[in-house]
Amino acid sequence: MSLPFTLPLLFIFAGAAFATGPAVVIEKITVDGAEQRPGDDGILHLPPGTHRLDFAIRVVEGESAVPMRVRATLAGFETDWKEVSGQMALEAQFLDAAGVVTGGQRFPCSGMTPGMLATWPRTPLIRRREPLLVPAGSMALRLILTSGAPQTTGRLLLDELTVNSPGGGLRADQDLWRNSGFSSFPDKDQGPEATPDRWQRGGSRPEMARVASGNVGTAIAIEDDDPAGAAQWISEQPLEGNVTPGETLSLSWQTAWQVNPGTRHLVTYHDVGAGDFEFRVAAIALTGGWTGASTGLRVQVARHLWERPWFWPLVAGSVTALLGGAGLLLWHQRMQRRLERLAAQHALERDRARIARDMHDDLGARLMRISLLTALTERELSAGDNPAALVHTEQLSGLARDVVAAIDEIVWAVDPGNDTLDHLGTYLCRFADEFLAGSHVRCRFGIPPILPALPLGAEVRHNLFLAVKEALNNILKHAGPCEARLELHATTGVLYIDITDHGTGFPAAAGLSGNGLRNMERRLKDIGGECAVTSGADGTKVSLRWPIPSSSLPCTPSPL
Amino acid sequence: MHTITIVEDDAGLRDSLALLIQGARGWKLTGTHASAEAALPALTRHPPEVVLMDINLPGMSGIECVHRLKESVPQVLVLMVTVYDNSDQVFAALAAGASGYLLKRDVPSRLLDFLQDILNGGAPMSSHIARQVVRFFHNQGRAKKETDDLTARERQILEGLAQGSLYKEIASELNIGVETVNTHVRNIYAKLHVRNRTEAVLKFLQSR
Repeated sequence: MSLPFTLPLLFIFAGAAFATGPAVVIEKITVDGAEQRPGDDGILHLPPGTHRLDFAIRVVEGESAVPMRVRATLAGFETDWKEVSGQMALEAQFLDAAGVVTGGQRFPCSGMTPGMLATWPRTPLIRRREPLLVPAGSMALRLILTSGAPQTTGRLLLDELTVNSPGGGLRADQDLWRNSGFSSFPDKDQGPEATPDRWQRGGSRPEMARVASGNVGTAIAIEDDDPAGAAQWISEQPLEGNVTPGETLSLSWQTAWQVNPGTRHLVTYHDVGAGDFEFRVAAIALTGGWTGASTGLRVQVARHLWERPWFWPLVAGSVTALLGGAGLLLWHQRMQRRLERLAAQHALERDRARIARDMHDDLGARLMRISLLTALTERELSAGDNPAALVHTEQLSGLARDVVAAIDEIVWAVDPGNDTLDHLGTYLCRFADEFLAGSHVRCRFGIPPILPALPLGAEVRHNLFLAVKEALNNILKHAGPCEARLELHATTGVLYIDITDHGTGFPAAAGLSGNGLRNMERRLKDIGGECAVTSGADGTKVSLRWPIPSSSLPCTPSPL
Repeated sequence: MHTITIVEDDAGLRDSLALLIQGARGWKLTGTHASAEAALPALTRHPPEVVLMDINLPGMSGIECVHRLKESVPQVLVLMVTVYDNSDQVFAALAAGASGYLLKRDVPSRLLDFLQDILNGGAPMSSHIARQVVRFFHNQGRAKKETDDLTARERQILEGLAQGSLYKEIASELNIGVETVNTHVRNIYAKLHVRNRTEAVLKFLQSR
């Protein structure tokens, strides 16, 4: 959604910027929890390994005291600029029969809408219209108008909220949301403290959620003037069979806002590995205009000879099994040459993309030939009468398949093109499909097709994947013929992955000491998550939990 | 005899595939090509019934090749073969008009059955591709022509596939025949094809 900004306003902001000199400064740098300073050359030098970087940013507004938004990027690590300052938002959440969130979306508000006035009555409203996909099992829709993080202050108004179903034929005009114009108030005489029918207040300072009267009648608003508190308007309404899962609803509302993002922000990056990066941060006007205030810092992370400890040994191991010692020697030389080239390159991301490509093209094609030739040999042998040779070629063929599958996993894990939650969801689906194909276990998925745009580093992604694989392997080994279910959802700052089966289960005591389960626990612990296993007569449930770092929450482009 | 042509850049793999086809009953190999550029003119002049196409080709990619081939010879059936199961590439190839895809590691055991299934009008769709299709239509919004949007029934079927249901399970749940499910999936592919201007798919994949 884009809106024309008002040119005169931009001039005022730009003028103010030059007169008073606003600035943005990096106040403090924390690396893996300890404060660090750049070296004499102005560059932040870090030892090999992956690091967590926290930059504390302060905006100096200058004499004009005009609030500014802040965007930042770590060039070489990501390609986009992220909004790091606070946003207000309208959030939509779908709930199932038990009240568990099945999916949803957040529509953020940054800066201000054109023509914002100090009081609501004659403030011009804009209309936003957004598609909303209904996830499976959704029974109710919850809408939350929120003032966001505590330090964010400002004002946000909402009116004429409608939800309809454009795909539903006859129901195209029917509004699925009751009291959409906020006309029904049981206690209208309460003024700003009134509560519209079906809505309630929330947050640490609920009284900042108010009722506004304006040029279009009454509406709900949040007037947040407390940098230490937040408020919400919340409403939950049943969908009552009016919509079908997979259908796209149209959510439409009138709104106006002015969001003051505050002056102190924290930008966090996880899993920053070897490479040469530049952290850049800039303050922009609420309307999106450039203020000229920006700063930057170069960050260099030294590189290990072996960039990922699990990577080459796994490749070498797989290849040894197939090609034996001589092949290993040749491969080793090639690896050495590649490693030298690796060391010469700067961006870790580029390295990873290239490795994935190399593995794909070179190694994959050769292994495939082995597999195909084996199949041909098998066919020729079966014409004659040599059962022993037939068994051997079958084994060889199976081995080649396994190696290609193992490399498939590595290629997926290292390719930076896969660094999102959605890619993890897609990959888990197809992995489970293939892993359990032809077995006695049927797998069902509860993975929403639309997942939040959450960046997931290779390490987190790979550990989560290996834990799921371990769980599926356990089902294959212990559960007997049964149905398994793989569920993934990300809500309230936590990523949940549950693998359930309704098989025979396995004794908890024996199970928990098993290698597989210990591996799962370790993998989740490595990335700061948790793993719990419950097993009973009616099956086993493996629950993986990973807290989503706040810095990787999705940043949707602002409408201005 | 059904006619088939192979487009594969790796010489060894190409020969092995050719051997496999030549040894199979009911199939006639009408040509092998090492690149999309070399294959396109020949395929357009004398189209076979089926083309076995590698996704990763030097120069013009297999995906682009499908796109152009289907424009000039819409009736040709294209089966993509790929070493790794890269969802994004496979999705792009299906959106460009391919009829199915097979992992190279499954070629020895499943190729001939798969070819037969496609010739009989089968439209395979695995759960992860179904997810991509749902997302793609969601991101594209409404089509100019209403007939290019998915129907409620088609969305129901996609939902089922994304949850890992088999065609026969979907058929019995919706009280329709497996053939009808196949027809719906074929229609979904056709709509995907209509909605796919190549840029739309690329933009969608980049946005993930």
